[in-house]
Amino acid sequence: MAAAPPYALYVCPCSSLSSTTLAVHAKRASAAPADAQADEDSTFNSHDPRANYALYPLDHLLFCNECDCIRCPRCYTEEILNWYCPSCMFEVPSSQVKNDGNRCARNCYDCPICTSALTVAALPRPSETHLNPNETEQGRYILQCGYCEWSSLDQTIEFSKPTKITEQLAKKRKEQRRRKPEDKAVSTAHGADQVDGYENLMAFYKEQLAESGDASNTYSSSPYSSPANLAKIMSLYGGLSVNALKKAREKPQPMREARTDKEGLQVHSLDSSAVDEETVRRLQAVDWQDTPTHEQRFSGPLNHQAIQTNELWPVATPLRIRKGKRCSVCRQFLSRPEPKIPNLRYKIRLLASNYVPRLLLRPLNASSTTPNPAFRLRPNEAEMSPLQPNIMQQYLLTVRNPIFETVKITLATSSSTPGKVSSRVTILCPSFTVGPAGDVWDEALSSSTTSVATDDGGRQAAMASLTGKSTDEADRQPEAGKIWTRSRNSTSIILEVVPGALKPPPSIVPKSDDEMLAEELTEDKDVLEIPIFVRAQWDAVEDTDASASAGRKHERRAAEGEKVRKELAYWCVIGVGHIADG
Amino acid sequence: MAAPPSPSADYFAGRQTARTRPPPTVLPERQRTGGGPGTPGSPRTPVLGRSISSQFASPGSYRGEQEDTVVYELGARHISAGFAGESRPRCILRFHPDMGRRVGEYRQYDPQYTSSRRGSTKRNAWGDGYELYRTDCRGLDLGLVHDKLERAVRTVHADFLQLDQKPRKAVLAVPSLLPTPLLEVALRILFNHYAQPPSVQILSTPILACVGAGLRNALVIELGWEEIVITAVGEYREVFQRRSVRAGKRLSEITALMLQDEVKKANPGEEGKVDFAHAEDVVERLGWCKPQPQQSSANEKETIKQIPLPDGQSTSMAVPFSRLSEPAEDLFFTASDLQDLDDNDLPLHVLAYRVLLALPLDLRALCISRIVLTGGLGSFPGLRSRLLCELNELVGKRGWDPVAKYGSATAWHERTLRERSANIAAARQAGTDGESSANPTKQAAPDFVPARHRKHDDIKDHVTLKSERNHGARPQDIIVKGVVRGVETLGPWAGASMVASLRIKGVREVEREDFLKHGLKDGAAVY
Repeated sequence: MAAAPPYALYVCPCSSLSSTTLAVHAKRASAAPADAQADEDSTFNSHDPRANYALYPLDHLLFCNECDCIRCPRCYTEEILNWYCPSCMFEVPSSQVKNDGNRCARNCYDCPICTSALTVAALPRPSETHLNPNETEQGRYILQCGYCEWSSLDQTIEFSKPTKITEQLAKKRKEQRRRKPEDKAVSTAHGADQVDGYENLMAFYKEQLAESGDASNTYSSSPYSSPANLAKIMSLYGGLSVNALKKAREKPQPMREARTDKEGLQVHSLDSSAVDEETVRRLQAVDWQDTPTHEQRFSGPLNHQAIQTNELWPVATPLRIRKGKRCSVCRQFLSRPEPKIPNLRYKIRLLASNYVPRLLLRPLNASSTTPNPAFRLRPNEAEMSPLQPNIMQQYLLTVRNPIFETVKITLATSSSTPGKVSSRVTILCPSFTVGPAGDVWDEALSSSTTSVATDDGGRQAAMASLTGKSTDEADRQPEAGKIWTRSRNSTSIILEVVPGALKPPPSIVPKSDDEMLAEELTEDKDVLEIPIFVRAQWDAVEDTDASASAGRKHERRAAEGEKVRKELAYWCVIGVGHIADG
Repeated sequence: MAAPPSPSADYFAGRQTARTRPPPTVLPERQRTGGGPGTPGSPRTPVLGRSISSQFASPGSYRGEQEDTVVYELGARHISAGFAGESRPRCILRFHPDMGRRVGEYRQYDPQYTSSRRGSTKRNAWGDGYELYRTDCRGLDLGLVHDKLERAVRTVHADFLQLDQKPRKAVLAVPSLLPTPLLEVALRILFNHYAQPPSVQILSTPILACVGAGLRNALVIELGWEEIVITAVGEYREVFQRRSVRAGKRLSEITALMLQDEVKKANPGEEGKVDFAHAEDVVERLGWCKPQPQQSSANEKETIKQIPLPDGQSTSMAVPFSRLSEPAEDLFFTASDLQDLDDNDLPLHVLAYRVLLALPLDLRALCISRIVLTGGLGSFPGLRSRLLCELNELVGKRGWDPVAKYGSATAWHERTLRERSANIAAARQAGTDGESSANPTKQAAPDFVPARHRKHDDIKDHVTLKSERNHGARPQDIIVKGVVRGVETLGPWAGASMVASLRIKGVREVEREDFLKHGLKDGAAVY
């Protein structure tokens, strides 16, 4: 639920929702065509668990105007343009990003407890020297969280200067590691063993690999690295052949395993259970509040093994990126922001909302004009009232056209909604046209908006234009095949919905446990959602450079200015509201 | 090149000094074009460290240094990713129901949103939604797994790896015997992702845990999510493996039951439903296990832990600290009444013992002193010591006799044992080895045949000779054998990182082109 209902979510055509369980896989060879067919014919089920991954608000989608297709995060590729720290807004050059661990290497740190930004604060001087500052004495600084009162004093970390926090922290960490080599439990918790152990082991493995006779490894940075190269060179410059050399050398011993602490072996023998006992004792001493949650532990690589919250280190702020997005089919840029960090403008941005007809739903008998849901901050009380099951409701479905051509819209939906609660849905007028979007001034300047409606609005609309809408509105009845209202670039039709009951009618036969379980509703399953298949057709004037492009050979014969029929089809899911229990 | 040339230097000299500066990879290009005034006309012997002409240099031998590999580790509960050559992954991403919400839905951040968690009622299996897959693939919606994993991989790349467009090789560490359909899904996602790795190397976690411990042979006990997998690794190969479902999932389930009991005890009226998230939280934050089997808890005063109630009320329940160790003890070290029916009925140490028992003698001796604990519960407080203790006790009690009970033949068995121990005692008197052992069955105890009567001369055997020579060379390196001993590992991810950065060629490397064309070749028969 993107917002409170009513809302509309769109499905990118790239997502196929045929469920591929293993059973399907096993007999796919024979069932594949039928399967594809079923996929095409079946109604999109918005209550399917996979639907969550396919539905997007229209504002999150892009549109490729080369392929004439909606593009979702699955079907565009991303290119990182630059890296920056969201806290200090400094851009980080790409060569540094990896070495800093994709984190800000300046003074930006996040609180390990509550993830809000930390500030560097100066500690007050002791009272005896307060008025008489010593020249040689250094200042004392700490990192402090303004939200949850955490400070680096919990870790007994103080800094001597307010800048270069990262450097100072690294130094402190090294000191701490060195200070407690014998206290193994503590150092394990700090994850120091991980680094040391890794380095030791790596050194050991490198040495062993070099020793175990693979001569190429000793020259891994030289051109003689591969045996083929070596053979060529040896044959060029005479003397021994490689095979002779190989025979001369003794067969290499296989690499052995690490045996000492220095080689990275960390033994835990039977006698060393004291370490574990110490860990348990520490665990016994801490309170629930002082143990880190897994979010806190996964906040940064240094905190993965913390047992207590006071072992958590401040987390350097992760960098954010600014991405360009390309269509994965034709590789053109769909979105490309300005490279400068403070600049929020986009060079290229092909939003789907500028190309795809937008659907809006509101109750027909709404007393007040509902604002555009995009601008709503919180749901209205009236909208929150649940739908009564089995009582027919009428809704106004408005289709708004963003493009500069008249679009012919065909709507399709199954008569009952998929999912556990099936409601009946009728679209009174499934096929209609929507006028082009033009300059806003056109509409304001034209005297009557309803005059456009005469082309297929029928007698009713003509009457409305003659008699004036307000008098007619009150006793107007929705009619099948008739458009309700029409304005310059939007058309409204009537949708009749009979919400289904959440529970089937009570029966005399007692139910088995399985049936009871099957009836139990999971979260959001009581929301009435109508999947509607939208098909938009329009005649576009093909501009010359587009028709000359390589991918459109079949359209090349179209002369300049000739109309080309274009089509866009997609599923749209409209959330109507919660169905009342009972 | 960057410094402006001094006015006295002439043009050619400036060019010549500049020629030495560009990185060697640039050189062959310029030589072939033959442009620069300083280029010698005749071929000459290349100097080490510079490039030799392109016919000898294999491509990529230079880029090797800066080329980095992305290392993924995939489990049922998490995906972790990072770069080869680093000791820790850049991120560990845990699967969570909130990850499966629709795009643009921010309800879960609303403090008023009481997660009614209607999704995690009895309708769903325990922990459903928190795991990526079940190993039982029947009825598993692979499409859903694909969607979940794809979103996770996208998050990993956008938030943590943040790589540029250059294609990089990838290493994927998966649990051994991961079902092929799941592996295919994972590979498909990695190959179709915009990072576009040219190849993915697949490694299995027991081997990597072994590498991460610095060993060649090990008994890797993987305390995973769905299953405990005990693998005997010999010379970097999985030799023998047994599994049991007494693992993390079950542990959280038992803990939930225990907590519910406590809630009911405290206020009898309440139902006290403990959901998955809360139970897991308790396991992770306060779960423990006694490091010694019989610890007298009498002398210790009981600590009471205040644990918040699952429904997020301000009151909390008081749970004795000792109670928090019960789930783990029950799960891992309590034998069920049904003796020896199934691996799942066996406690952890007995299962480990069985694995060791099934191994050849030499490997068993090596493995028992190289017990490696890894997996999600690998660092569970107290578990490691407890396991070693229990195993030691078991070995002391039962020796390495595969038959637990001889029934009526016990008398015969005891007699043979007595005879055997007499033999051993005699051998010991000869002073061959100084080891003392309380129990004769603990010894490997071959039938004692004097060396001169043996057909095969062990002493003059060339293998023995060689191995002895080796021993002589390094007397300080005595291979620890036959003692119960644990070895710490840095974990499978770190192991994979090492393997990748040392550029060890994996047995299973899947090329992108091949995969997109043919799919998984070896497992393809299923489809």
